[in-house]
Amino acid sequence: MKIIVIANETFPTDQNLTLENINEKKILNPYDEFAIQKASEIKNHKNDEIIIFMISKSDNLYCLKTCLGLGGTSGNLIIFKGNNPKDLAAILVKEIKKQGTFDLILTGEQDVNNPRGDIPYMINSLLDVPLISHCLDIHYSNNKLICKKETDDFLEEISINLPCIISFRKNVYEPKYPSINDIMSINEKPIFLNYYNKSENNLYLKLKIYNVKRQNKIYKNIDSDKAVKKISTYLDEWGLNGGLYEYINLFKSKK
Amino acid sequence: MNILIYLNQKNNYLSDYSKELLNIASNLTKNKDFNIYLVSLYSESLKNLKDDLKNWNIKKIFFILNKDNYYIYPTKISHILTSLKKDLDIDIIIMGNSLFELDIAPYLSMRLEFDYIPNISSFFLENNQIIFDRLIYGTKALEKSTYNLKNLVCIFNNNINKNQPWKIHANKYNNIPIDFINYKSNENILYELKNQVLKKQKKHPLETSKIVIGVGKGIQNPENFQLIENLANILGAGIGVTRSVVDHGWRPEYEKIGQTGKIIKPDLYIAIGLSGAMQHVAGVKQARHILSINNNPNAEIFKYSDLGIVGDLFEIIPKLITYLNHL
Repeated sequence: MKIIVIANETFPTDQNLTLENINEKKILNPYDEFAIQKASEIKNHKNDEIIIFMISKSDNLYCLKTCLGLGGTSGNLIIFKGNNPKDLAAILVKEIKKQGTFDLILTGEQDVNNPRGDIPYMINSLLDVPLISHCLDIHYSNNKLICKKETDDFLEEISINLPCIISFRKNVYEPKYPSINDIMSINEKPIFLNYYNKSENNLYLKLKIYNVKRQNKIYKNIDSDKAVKKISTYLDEWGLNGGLYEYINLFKSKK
Repeated sequence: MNILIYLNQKNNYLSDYSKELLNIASNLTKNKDFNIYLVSLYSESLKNLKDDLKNWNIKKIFFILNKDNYYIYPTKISHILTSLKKDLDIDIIIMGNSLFELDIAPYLSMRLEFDYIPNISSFFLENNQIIFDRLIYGTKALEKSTYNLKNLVCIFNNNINKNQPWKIHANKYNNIPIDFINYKSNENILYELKNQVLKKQKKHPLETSKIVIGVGKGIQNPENFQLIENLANILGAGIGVTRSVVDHGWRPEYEKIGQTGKIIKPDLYIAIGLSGAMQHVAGVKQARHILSINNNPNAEIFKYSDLGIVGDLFEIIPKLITYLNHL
């Protein structure tokens, strides 16, 4: 089986963001990390391949090597400094086609820092291969892929033939760490660097740090009666529907 | 200018979110010669909406009929919308941010070669152009992007526009015409549905609740959620949880609030027994008021709170419930 995993590097979710460090620190996008874990689970023959396509703005190999440590058999770094998703999708499709036939494309639904989520649909449209989106889990049996998918009202179990594209809306909860053997093997795995010219959208983009000022009235060492009083006074003051009393009674009457 | 709104409307009353989308469309076309078209999947209850919809200048409503109850593929809906776009010469398509619409919109933008702008948190019109604000980097940064009022597929977040009926100076269309489009059988079946489990339906969905109670690991065990549910019932609040609660298997994944869960914008967020990890705060940063209760005085959540109480939730919450019950 030939599995392609499309991954992206992104800003760490537990770090403070400034306009200076925005392009400095990078981690593997947690949704894509989940896709790599699933690819490793499905790979059951020694000859099965997991080809990683890592989208990056620089030629830093850290995230790609992490993917190889987690089970990738070969890596392609796509260095693309543009911001047009359609161009990026076209580049990915071009690179995927270079690989010849494939059985499965796995990817995260979106970048954790930019919830656009359009790349899997674009690849689906350009390759004309069916896509299962909002996927929570997959397993492979009897030449079919069984996917657990989330919709607005249901959790669905879906069966699909290969080849297909799966995009995961679940991220990694318990990170898996590569074993010493896996880490040692990274340098033996082939890595290809693909540079693409910067392309820009026509749109004008501006970015600024977003902060909300809070009142920070913190009460320590007060008993629970006083705490309830503080809460009710606060709720009354800011006046949801004219005050707490009115709100509660309005809600009661609605009930 | 022609705008097409896809309404993901299921009830027999116009939801606040649908009203918001209608107001957004009306705002976009302010002082311009415009037409607003509506499209929605048909259900019996929708017939009753026609009177409500008179509050907006809607030129025509299209209902997609699924007489034989086929499984609805988003790609097929996007095909229907593509042909509508061609027939009506649509400039902008507006949708809400349900999972179903998030399935249709990017595919549609690709087919129509329109620009796709998701999770819009506000917008401004300026010199025949439109500036969209999107919160990215887990609500740590605001992206401003400028587009021409043409060839756009837009996904708007909840609570960005007032949901009151739009003031109509002259309602051009007193009797809104309705057209029906048949959802055709699923030839070329893409995948097969094996099993379907209904998600636990919540009385107060997280996305639309005015008050949301966020619960963390401090609740100690799933049985203690009854306490939170009692409080939520009194306040008419939705309940969301942190990642560690989901990790413990106490609540389902779809109740998770945060950068990788739901990003909400309630009037009041009550954080109970949660530390306030950066990834969780990303999901509630847009709340108008944040109130937190935690027994750890050094909990990060206090930095993001308007009112913080350092105390034991198992003492405070029952007393708060009693107090509210006697109001």
